[in-house]
Amino acid sequence: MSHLFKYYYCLLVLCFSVLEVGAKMPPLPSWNEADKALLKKGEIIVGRSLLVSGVIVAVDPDADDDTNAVAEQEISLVPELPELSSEVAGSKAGILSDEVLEKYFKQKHSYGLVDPQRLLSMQERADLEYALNVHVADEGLPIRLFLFDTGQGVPSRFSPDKVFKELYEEEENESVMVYYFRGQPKQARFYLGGGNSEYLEGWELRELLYNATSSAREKSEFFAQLEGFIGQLSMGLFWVEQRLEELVVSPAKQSTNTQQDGASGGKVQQLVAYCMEAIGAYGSRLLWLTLGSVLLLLSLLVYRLKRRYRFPVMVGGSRLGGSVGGRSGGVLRYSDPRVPPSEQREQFNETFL
Amino acid sequence: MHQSAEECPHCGLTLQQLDAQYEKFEWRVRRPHDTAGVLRVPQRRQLAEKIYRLERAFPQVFFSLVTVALSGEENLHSYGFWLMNRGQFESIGEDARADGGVMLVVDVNRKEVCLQFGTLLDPYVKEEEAFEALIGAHPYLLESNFPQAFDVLLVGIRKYLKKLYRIAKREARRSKQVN
Repeated sequence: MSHLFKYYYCLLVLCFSVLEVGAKMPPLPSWNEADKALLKKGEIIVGRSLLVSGVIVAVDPDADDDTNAVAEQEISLVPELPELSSEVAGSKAGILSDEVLEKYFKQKHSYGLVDPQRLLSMQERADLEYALNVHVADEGLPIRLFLFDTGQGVPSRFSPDKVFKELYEEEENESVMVYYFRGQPKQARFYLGGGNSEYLEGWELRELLYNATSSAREKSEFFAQLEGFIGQLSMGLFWVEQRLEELVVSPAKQSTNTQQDGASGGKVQQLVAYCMEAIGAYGSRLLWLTLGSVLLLLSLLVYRLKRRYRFPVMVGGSRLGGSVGGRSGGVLRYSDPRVPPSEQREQFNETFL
Repeated sequence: MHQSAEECPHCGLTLQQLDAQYEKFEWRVRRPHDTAGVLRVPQRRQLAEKIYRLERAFPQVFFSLVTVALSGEENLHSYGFWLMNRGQFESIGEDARADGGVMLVVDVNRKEVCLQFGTLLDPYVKEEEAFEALIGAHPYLLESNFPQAFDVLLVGIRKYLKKLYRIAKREARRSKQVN
């Protein structure tokens, strides 16, 4: 019952509202006789004013062409969606303030992630730091990963090589600095410095960065890109490290070889140098191992050659009155090729002599 | 043939009977002692060198290689035993003992081979094991390729002597513990 009462009440309120709105609107137009005549002739089209904007001139078939020319209407092209230019993006993300730049570059950072702007979530940060720690634990070249937002620009005075030389140059071992821009793996910048890194060729480092970038671009999501980038970079750095170990040996060898070439200058020296380079870092270990093995074998050989077997003298009786003659062994017969030695063992059950 | 027995308990054989049986045979033993004439002179020289090397490892032992052509009642065992007791071995090393003989006897007539030992090694020798030391040369003996056969035999004998050495050491330790 109460529901029915509410229904009627709502209906009543709605009716009053419609009446009130209708009272405020202008009166509807009414057709006069002249309009009705024009409508019959086709000179009036109902609703034309709603469909066409501007002034429409009625066409008179009997009139001249000039007078029949329909006023050209200017139809402007629908504007396309505005493209986000780099300038706009840069301005959107903003140039890094001096305060933020100081957080990035004015102090030394240990290896791992450098993200003072907090661009990563807690989980992403934990995952990324774990990956970087695993990379370092596997004796890979340590990475300092500087993370920037999309479109942010780093002033040229803070380029990776300059920052490295300013802050980290005194470090003995090689390390890697990476500037990674959120969602823009192609913009990533890379620098490998310290230790013996100067022996590396430029193309090797460029290839390393290219591979990491390509791996990142296979993904669409930002963090997946970053993971792909770091993963590929870690793998690439393994081979760089191997190459560095080879290069550590090579310069010393080359210097000695040049001195020897000055003295003798023979092709044999070049061949030896080539072999030593081919053996690489394991050369000295291999040499010692070989030398040790040869010495061991020689010792064994000398021991075997020099060893003397002296039998303990046991007091034994003579046989058949002989002074020194003793037992004899089994007889091997070779008169019949069809009787192998294995068939000649039955003799051992027989009595001697 | 029991140790310390003056004659064989089965047939009554004595060393004096063997003296009568083999009186025609050469008792001065060269090394190698090729009475059957199966080796050429260079082969004998090479064999003498190998015998010398073998004896160097076993200073108490002297080694001899004898080829002989036996017939009739003569047999390899009795001839080896007689020669070991009655033979005069040439150019034996200073440390070699008189009872330390090891003799390889080859009967080219009956085509048989056996090893004869002196009393130094007698307690440790087993017939079957001594036989095993010879079987590697069987294929070469079938072809009468004696130089190759003797090479293989010397290798087998060296191994067997090392085995005898280990046995002798073990026996000596055991007897010391008992005493």
